[in-house]
Amino acid sequence: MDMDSNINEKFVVFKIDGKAYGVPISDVQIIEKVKGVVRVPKAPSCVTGVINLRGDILPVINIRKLFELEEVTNTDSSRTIILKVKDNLVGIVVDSVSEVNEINNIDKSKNNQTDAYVYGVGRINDGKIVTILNTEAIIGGAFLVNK
Amino acid sequence: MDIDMSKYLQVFIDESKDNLQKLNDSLLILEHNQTDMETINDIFRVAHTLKGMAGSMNFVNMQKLTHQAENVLDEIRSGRVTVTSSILDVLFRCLDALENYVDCICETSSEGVEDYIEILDDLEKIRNGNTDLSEHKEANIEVVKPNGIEIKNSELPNEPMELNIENNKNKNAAIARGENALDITIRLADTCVLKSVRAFVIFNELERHGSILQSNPSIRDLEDEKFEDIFKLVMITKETVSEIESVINGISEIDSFKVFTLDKDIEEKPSVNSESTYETTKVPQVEAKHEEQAPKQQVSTKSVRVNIDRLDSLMNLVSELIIVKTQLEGVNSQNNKTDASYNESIEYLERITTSLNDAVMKVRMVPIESTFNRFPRMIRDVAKKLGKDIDLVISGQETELDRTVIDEIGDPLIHLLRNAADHGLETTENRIKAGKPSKGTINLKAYQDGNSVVIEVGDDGKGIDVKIIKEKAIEKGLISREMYDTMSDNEATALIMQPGFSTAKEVSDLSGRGVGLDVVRSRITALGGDVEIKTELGKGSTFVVRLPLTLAIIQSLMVNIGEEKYAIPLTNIQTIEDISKEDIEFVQKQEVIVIRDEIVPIVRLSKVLDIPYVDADDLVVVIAKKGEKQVGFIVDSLIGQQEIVIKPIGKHLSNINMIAGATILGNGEVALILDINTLV
Repeated sequence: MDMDSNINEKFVVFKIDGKAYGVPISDVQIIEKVKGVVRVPKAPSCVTGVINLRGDILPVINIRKLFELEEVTNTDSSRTIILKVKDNLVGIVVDSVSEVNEINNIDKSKNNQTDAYVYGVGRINDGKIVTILNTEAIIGGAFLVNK
Repeated sequence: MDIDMSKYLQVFIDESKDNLQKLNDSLLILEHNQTDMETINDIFRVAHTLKGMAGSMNFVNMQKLTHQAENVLDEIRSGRVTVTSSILDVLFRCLDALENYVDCICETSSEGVEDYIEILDDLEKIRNGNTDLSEHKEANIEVVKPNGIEIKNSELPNEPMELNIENNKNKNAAIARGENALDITIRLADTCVLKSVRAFVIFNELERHGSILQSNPSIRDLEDEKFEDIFKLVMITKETVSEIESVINGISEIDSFKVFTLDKDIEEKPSVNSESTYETTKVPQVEAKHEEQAPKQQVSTKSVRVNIDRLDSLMNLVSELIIVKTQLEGVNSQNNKTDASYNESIEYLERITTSLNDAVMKVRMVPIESTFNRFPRMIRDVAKKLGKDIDLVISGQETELDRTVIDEIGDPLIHLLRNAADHGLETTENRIKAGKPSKGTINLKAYQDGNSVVIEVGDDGKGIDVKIIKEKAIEKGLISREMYDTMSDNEATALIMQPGFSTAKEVSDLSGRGVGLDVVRSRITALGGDVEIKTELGKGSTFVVRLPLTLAIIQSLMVNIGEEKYAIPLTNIQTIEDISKEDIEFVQKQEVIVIRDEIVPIVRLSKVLDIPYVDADDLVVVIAKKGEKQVGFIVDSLIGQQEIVIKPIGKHLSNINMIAGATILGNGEVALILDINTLV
């Protein structure tokens, strides 16, 4: 995730537990409704299961569990964002997807040093604060951690 | 003007590999019959082809090496040097070096910087072994030199090329600027293997000295190799005719060429300011200056060469499929759902899809030959190292296997072959003492058996001493004294494939390098196959490897466990039994059932798979067998037998051993495939 080179890259902004997060649109393959997740026995606990994305089978990460948030049941606005990181497809389930927008002046120092999953913090044009996630770290973390 | 070099790269890699294999085979024949003229000629031809191909693609180091090898082979061919085993060793090393080049090209699109100086030196030494020959050789490798003017003029067309209007304007403008417009005709050598590539090299080279306006045939036709030997082009350059001539002279595989200057007025017959034709000898030179133009990063993809008949049958089936689809649409629109015609169409559709499936599977099948081919050489090297005399007898190399299996099976087989050579066969003295022929034999045999392919690696060596195995197993704590007494011979020999078991007293360079037969077994089971050992003390042992024909599509049993659906590959399943809760007994805290007087331990899949357990009176037990061992798996209910396509579940989850993959059901749902072998 090299965001320094293209400051004006667009981000997919979504909500988890009322908080706005963003991932660079170049990391996003597609956004799907949440359906048909099949549990995989013995999988890391932050992995909900696998889904069928038009013939490809890919894992889905339970990001609430990874962020140690309370787990909720999916609603109509829940979405699976399919990330493509290092040629691997992985889905993350979020509460809702709000918009695709440019985020400027990402401040990397503002991030909580203890949280490896955060890349930095930035603002959308209207001033809303968005936490930019480090997709690689999230995927790495989800498949390692056995919470 | 730009020809994309990368698209020839795959052709180059495929053809080089074929040729290297030929070289390998021929060298092995030559080793057994060092005066076989036919083979020497074959080797020479292959080396020559390789050199030409490497030259065409601008792989300079590779070309240099093949060139040097060719020189030595020429000496051998003409009888000035006789084949000795040391010469053969050098040639084998040369072959290895060439293989390294091709591998490197395959991975990185460039041949790398290794120049194998020692091999070149050794080749040079062989060549100079006979001093009175060196002069002749000099002439042979001499760089192209002009032979004088107009030698083959009559063979090259004389008429200038017609330029289109725009290019004509460009030409006139260039002449007005004081540059030269040159009409160039080039005839490629008959021996040129990749003509379009050669044309590309020429274009590239000329473009460094000016710009090419137009060519005849067009660049596209040149790229598609739609031309004989001759092509024409018009270029604009600041350099003179003789400078361009020397540029073209520096390119190999050109039979002859002609350059003349065009005048401003194209309507008139061009006045020939300077015309000259050179005949070049066919010896390519080393084009060291092209190094920086190595094709861009393009990593090669896996390809399967497919017999055209198979593709035709595939095509036919697809067109039939479309017909049936149209029929079905018709049935639907007429809305007269007369069951007969509807069912007929459906049945027909089913037949076609089954055949289509078979046809596609066949496309993926390749003969195991490609894997077997590298073994004679390996056994030769191993035999030399061990000081044993070994004969490798290969049969059934035409047996076909799925491409994915072929790729995976090489390493395990190498291990089994080395094991046979190192541990299986006795030393020559011991063989003579035992009254056996001094030459040991290793048999490598492949054949199809029903839905699987069997590969046997057998040796006529000392066999496996079951007693020693058992004692060793006790020593290593793998079995108990009790088991020692009750264990069958088959069970005992299977022990040598247990992790942590190695009977070799000392670790040799060949086998026993930390990875043992247990790795072989796990690799083969990962492919859905198994290994069996047959052995007779003093007579030899045979490792029987059984592999599924294909990995992509399998027959499976779909089962319900709790709310979830799983697929169990049918090959693992022996029987399915309905039992009631009361049939389950306990033996040493282990749940077992008795089926036809046999005690079978049972495993509750719901427990293994962390699925909430539902208590039921009637149970379904799927009995799976692995080797001699049987295990019953309790499932909630059966859905039925189904043909499924295996899909990987991604690299992140691939370390979950009990899941072999996943499949997509007719309704789009995902079902996981259980790897029963890991649970037995």
